[in-house]
Amino acid sequence: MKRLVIALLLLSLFVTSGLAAAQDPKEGGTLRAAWQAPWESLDPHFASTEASFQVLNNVLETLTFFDDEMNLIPWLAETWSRSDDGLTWTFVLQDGVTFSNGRALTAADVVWSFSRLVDPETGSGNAWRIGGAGTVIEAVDDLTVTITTESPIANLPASLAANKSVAVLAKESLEDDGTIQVPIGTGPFVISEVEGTTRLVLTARDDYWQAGVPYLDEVVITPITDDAARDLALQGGEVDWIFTISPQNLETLQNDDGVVVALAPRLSYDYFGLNLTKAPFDDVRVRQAIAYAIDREVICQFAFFGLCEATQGPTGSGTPWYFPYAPYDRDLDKARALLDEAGYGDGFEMEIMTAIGFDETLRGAQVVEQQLDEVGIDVTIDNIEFGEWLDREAAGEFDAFMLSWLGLTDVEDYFYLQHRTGNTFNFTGFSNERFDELVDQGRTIDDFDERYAVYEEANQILVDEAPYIYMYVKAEVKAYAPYVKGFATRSDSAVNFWTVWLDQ
Amino acid sequence: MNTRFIIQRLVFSLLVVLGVTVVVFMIIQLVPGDPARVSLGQQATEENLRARRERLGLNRPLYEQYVSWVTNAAQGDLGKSLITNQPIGPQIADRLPTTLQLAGLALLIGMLIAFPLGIISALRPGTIIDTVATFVSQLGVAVPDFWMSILLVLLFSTTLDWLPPSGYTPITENFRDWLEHMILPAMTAGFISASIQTRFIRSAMLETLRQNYVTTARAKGLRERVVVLRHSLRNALITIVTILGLQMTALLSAVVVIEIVFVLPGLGSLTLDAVDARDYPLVQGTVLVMAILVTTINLGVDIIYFLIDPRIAHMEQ
Amino acid sequence: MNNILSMREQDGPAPGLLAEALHRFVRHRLGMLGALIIGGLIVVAIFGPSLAPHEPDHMNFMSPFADPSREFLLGTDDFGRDILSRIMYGARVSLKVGFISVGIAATIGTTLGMIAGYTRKRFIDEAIMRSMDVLLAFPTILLAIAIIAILGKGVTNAMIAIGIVYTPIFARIARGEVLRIKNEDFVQAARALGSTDAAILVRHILPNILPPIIVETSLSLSFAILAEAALSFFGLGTQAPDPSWGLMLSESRKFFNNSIWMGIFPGVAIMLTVMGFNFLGDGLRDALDPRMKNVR
Repeated sequence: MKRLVIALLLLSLFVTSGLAAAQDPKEGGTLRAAWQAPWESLDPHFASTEASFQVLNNVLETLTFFDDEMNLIPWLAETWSRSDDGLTWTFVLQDGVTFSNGRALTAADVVWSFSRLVDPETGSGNAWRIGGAGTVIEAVDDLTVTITTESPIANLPASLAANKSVAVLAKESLEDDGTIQVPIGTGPFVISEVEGTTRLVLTARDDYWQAGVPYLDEVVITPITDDAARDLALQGGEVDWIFTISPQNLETLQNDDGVVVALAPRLSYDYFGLNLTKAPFDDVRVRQAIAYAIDREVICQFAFFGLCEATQGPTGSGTPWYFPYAPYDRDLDKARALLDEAGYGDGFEMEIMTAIGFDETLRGAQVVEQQLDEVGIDVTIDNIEFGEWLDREAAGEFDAFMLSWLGLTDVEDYFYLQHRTGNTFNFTGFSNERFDELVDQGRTIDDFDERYAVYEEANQILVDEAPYIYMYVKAEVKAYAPYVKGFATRSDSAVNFWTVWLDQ
Repeated sequence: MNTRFIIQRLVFSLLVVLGVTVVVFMIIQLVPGDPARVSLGQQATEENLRARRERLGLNRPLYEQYVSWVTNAAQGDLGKSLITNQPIGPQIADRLPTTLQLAGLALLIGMLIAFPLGIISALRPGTIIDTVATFVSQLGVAVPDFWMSILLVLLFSTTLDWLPPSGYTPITENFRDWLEHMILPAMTAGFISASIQTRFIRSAMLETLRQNYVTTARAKGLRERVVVLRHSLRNALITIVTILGLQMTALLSAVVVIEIVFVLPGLGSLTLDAVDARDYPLVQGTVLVMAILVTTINLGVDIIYFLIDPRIAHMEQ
Repeated sequence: MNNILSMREQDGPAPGLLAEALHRFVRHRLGMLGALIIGGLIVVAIFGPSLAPHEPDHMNFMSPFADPSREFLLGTDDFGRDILSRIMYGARVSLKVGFISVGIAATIGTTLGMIAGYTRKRFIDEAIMRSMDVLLAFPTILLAIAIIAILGKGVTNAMIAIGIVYTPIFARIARGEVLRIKNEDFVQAARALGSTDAAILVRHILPNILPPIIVETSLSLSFAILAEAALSFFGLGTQAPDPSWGLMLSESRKFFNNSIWMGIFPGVAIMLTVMGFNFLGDGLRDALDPRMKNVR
């Protein structure tokens, strides 16, 4: 009996570990956090990497916000509403929020931030989140702002919480040359020191609008790019918190009393895209053959050490938008038959393009190479610099590219962006009339069940047509010292430090 | 005479440094494509690019760019990092001590091993200790520095759990922590340095021992130990100073590698990060400072060399 | 050097001298050991595919991180690939990079050095040799990294970088040798007979300065192989999935908790290769050029 009570107690502790249960948070202290990569630009409209966005996460804020359970909640905006034609959204800001430079937040700041985001001159890869260049952002009064898009965006409030590219920042962030080096936001921390890409200090604001937080005085961020070194730095007590672990060390770290490992299913997926504009990938049978030829469980096991969920479509079981359609259990006979039908019975040669620095991708590609070899497809892996990778992806100079999509919150992030005809990130050349119709329609619907039905059909078309071959969805993993309390490991990978405190 | 030699060496070093600046300056010029575009990414607009080119000074004639770059560099202004927009000079100044401390510590460890080993094996050529010394030094030259790091981490961190495998505490913050983090990297560099030093010291000692005045001194009836210490060693000093000079260059190369492996915040790891981030001005800065460091050390060695024995300096000229 | 010998050297070392050198080399125990190691390595590099017990890329999903056994003599890596087979294939990468990069260095370096040594125009000599001094002012690995920063990552650029880094050594040696023999009778004779400078350099001088160049080539190969391993270790050189020893060691660091063998055997391969080239170089030096002292 006593044992059971303890077990239940442990379980409840585990479940609520993110909430730090009964203990009162302690004020003060410095958290030493190790990033997985150096941040690049700190300009939210230029930043494109996790490393940059997760720094900005603690400095900039958005109108809406996803809580730790992925529910959309008000943040800088108190309320919002949509016009009858579905084109105009009105957001009412909460009063009394100030930027870290002391100035009060007004609707004009929202207008400036969003206008810079959608300005084609800025060239942000995130402009689509609020519609694009045709979007008009206007201040109605000091605290009311309207966003009018050219076509209805059903999920605009969710889109505004997706990442910090849609955050509100102060115009004073701008340097003389039009760049932003250190953005000024309304968030709980300010970037107080930047030493190249080797050390960055976040200092807590004492005039932050949420009462009581942040608890920490400072967060010192250093990138440790080497997985093993990062794990060891945590184990050795050189840092208190690490961005991610090396998956192969999971067991070791879990057995270490000095380390807490926290997991959550991620909103991302790993895949490889095929070039539908060239043979043999223009033939759907060839694409399906590839989908049948790979064993996703093995790929997950060896690419990411099993810290993942094998999937045949884009969404994993961690999102409400999971679709259980899974036609591609490994079937080598079927794959061979399809290849035969398509006239490639003797197989063919193809190149998979991976980018230097994306380790699990390269590992996955090597497993795929071996598995496709079994149906006569001779894969060569071309592991190149990410810059070159992006150039070649954009220019369509590839057979297949392998990478992952991260930070996907709303269902349309999984479908619209990459696969609608003519979209910026549609690099495969996929075009399907019915699919386009569905994803366009999906953008105008509010009701969850209605939307789900629409995207379920879109999902089926996409999986059947197989422009992307889906492999797995990763688990989000964070690790920290036991005295680090109040950190929530989130499915959307967001790193929020303002609820963190140190029990020491 | 004395001053003439020193001035000659100074002028020579200055010329080398001037050449170094040309090479380093060319780094950004030789990047295939437009460095502004490379650094801004594919989504950069024409306006962004123009602003960036201006910031990098790429819109001016090559000659002008070089002159202004060198002039600024001479005043310690190495420009700003493309990624973070922070001035580069202070960043390097921040990292330099770690690199120098590691090199210094490694040299010390190297000498502590190499001197006894080199001298003993020269005094007793053909004995077991000589064979061992030769073998060890052959091994040390052939073992890659990064592999040696791995082996030491496997032994002292993973297996014995005595020392941290990576990380860094500044010496000013906590000496003990600093030493704990430095000792494995320094040992790695030290062993490799010792293997090279041992060979030099051994042959330098042998050479000196063969020379006449040692025989003379011995004939005078001095005890053997005194002979060794007073005469041989002093004469071998010349060679040793040269070795140390040569060593420092090779050592700095090893230190660059070892810093990266042990994630120490030195110039080597800064350079690799800068390369990864395509932060060309930062690459230029670190490479320039390292090259100037090497040149300065070489100059110092030449001068010390000359002060010990002016004849040799003449021969070299 | 006496005149008779020099005259005989006109068209390269005479057969008698070569035989003598060979005789000296065979008696050089370490040199022979080096030759043996390198010979074995070349055999492995050429016949690797038929010698290797397994396909180097074949993954045994059931047995990753296997300890050495009869099936896998050196164990398996994180994908269950045979480490021995991967090391054997890695020999090919290492030797290829070594030979090409040292080939670049030796060709450019020797050419520049010969021109500098032979020219009567002081400023050409100065220009070449001071440029070489400038290159020598950079710590070697840092110069290689900087060159890769310009050219981009990858094995081809790594070869170019290593080639550039080792060029000055060849230039210095070649120049020194040319200075030593350019006033010898046989050179003067060729000049008197109206040979062009190019012809003299190629036909008369080059064969006579080859011994130290060959020795340096062997020694540089050991450095080049170390450099390739280091660059690949940092992700700047050979890229996965190609098996490269440096890359294998770099990978091994992620799996210290799973297997130590991945971190040991590729290092042994590098060490043996480097020792092989060093021994070979020492042996060649003693055989070809007894004048040279062990100054490296």
